[in-house]
Amino acid sequence: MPRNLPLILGIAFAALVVLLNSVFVVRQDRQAIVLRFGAYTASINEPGSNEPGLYFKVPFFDNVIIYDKRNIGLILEGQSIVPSDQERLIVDAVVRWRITDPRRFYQSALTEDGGEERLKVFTESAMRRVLGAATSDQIISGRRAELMQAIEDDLNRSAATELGVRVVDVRIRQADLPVENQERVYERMRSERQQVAGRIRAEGQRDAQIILATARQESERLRGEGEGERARIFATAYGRDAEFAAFYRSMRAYDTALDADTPIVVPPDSDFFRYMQRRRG
Amino acid sequence: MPWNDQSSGGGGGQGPWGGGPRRPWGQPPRPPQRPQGGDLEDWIRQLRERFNLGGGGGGGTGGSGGGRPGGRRGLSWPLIGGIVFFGWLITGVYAVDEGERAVVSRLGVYNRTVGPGVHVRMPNPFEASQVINVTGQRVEGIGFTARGETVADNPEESLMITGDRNIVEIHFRIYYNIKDVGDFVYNVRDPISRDDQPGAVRQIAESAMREVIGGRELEPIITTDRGAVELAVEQLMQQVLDEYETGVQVLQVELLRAAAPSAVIEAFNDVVNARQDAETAINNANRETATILNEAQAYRERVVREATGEAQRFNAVHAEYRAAPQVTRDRLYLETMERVYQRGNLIILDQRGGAVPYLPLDGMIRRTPAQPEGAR
Repeated sequence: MPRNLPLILGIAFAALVVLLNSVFVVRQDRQAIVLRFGAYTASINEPGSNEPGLYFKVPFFDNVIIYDKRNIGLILEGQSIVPSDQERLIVDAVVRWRITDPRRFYQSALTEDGGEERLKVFTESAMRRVLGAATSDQIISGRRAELMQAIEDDLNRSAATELGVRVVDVRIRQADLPVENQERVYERMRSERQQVAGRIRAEGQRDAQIILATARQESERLRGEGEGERARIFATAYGRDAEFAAFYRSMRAYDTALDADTPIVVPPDSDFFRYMQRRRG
Repeated sequence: MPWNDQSSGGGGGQGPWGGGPRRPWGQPPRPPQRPQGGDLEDWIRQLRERFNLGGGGGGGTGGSGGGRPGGRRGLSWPLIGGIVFFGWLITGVYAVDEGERAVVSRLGVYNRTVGPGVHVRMPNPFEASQVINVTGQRVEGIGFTARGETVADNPEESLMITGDRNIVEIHFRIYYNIKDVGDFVYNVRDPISRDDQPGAVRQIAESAMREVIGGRELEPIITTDRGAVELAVEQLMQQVLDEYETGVQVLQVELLRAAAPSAVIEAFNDVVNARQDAETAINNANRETATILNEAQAYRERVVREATGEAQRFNAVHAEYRAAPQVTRDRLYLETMERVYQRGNLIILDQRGGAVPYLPLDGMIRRTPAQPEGAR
């Protein structure tokens, strides 16, 4: 028995190699195509079918190529797009796609990386086509969702049949003005804000002045009211005897108008000194 | 304790580093009788002796191992095989924590989803299990990188264009968990971000936020519409995530920062200042208004009352005057003149003399500065 041992081990090893080479597993989230001498023979667990599991093949002759069955993300770096209004935008996007026809995919792309590369080219041109026909306003705000759908449809017409994939979704991540324009935008934003600030300040000044002017108007009115009332009161009182009122008021005026030390030159024959003269004369 | 003091305590001697069992190079030759247990080296040595593998060079050959190097081989291989087999079976045991689910696949085919607890599955190539935390809240922060307390802006992500062609700086967080672990595992290749590769959730979040921001104007975004933005992003995200069947549930979108970019923040703050300035101007005007109006009212009331008083005074005097006109008139005249002349600087001058007399007016007036500002 010890003599046969190396032989037995050798046979067992060979059997193991053959066995491993004739068995393969297609996982739930994978799909596979089987090639015999490079020629397509079968697809396993394609989208639309649910047949994952353990499979056998002819060892060494059959070649199995496994692809992902899941939703795969392809990130497109920002590229410059010129919309119909000539305002250049930097647009980047994420394309979500999955392989739907592994046979076609193998023929046109061979590997997943190769497929991504080709899909990238397709997407770039689809974006140019769709976004180039739109205005920058529509891209930035108005019809973003529609445009994304249009790119998706465009891709599903062109790339899908060519590559054997289906584009699940195209999402524009950013659609921005290029960095060179950013400073301009900031400048405009600043000036807009300054305009608003200036307007608010001016409005404040205006309101303040209106308030003050209204107050002054009211003040003048009140003062006038007082003065008018005063005039009426005096007119009523003095009107009873105009002559006496003039005399009385004059007396009061003398009293208040002439203050201390005012030099007053009086002739001796003034009314005040009437009796003085009479005595002398 | 001296450096080379190895004498203290059999085996329990502490090196100069105060460390436990690791004795550095100052170690004395190993005592002939091995310390019992504990030391890994010794354990391996004992193992070798028992199975008689690896020659056991230098090691003590006393005892059982003895001189039968080949004889034990037949007996030890099955044992090793058994251990390996057991170890292989052990790979089928896995634990699922509270809040986690495990997806088990048999030969690549989805088989079952199991909840918390310790579970057994077929060992490795036949069945595979993937344990995923489903209820735990996962977070994705976009627009910034947080290192501890400091938050660094990430302009590439945070600056977005608004519907009115302004640029706004947005920092936000997505909180999510997993509502369908099967979908999560099998439907999307890259649901969550790994290293520098943004995952589907992050991609969708960014895209949704930019779409929402692009549809709105700057002013409301940074002031009143923050809640609406959060809600819109959450709905849009969930819609897309469901479309992809990612099995991800968005719990919350939290807008941390929605503000003008730092390059223009000053101008934006100045608008706030302007509002304050305007308010201040109006308040000042209102304050002055109160002063002006009250003064005017006071003036009116004062003037009217004074006039009324004066009129009453006149009326009273006039009543007396009518009773005795001439007497009253003379009396009033004389009394007034008396007061006036008393105060004033009276000079009686007879002009009939013809010659104009010299009056030292200067001297007379000069007296006034002694009473500053007159005698009013």
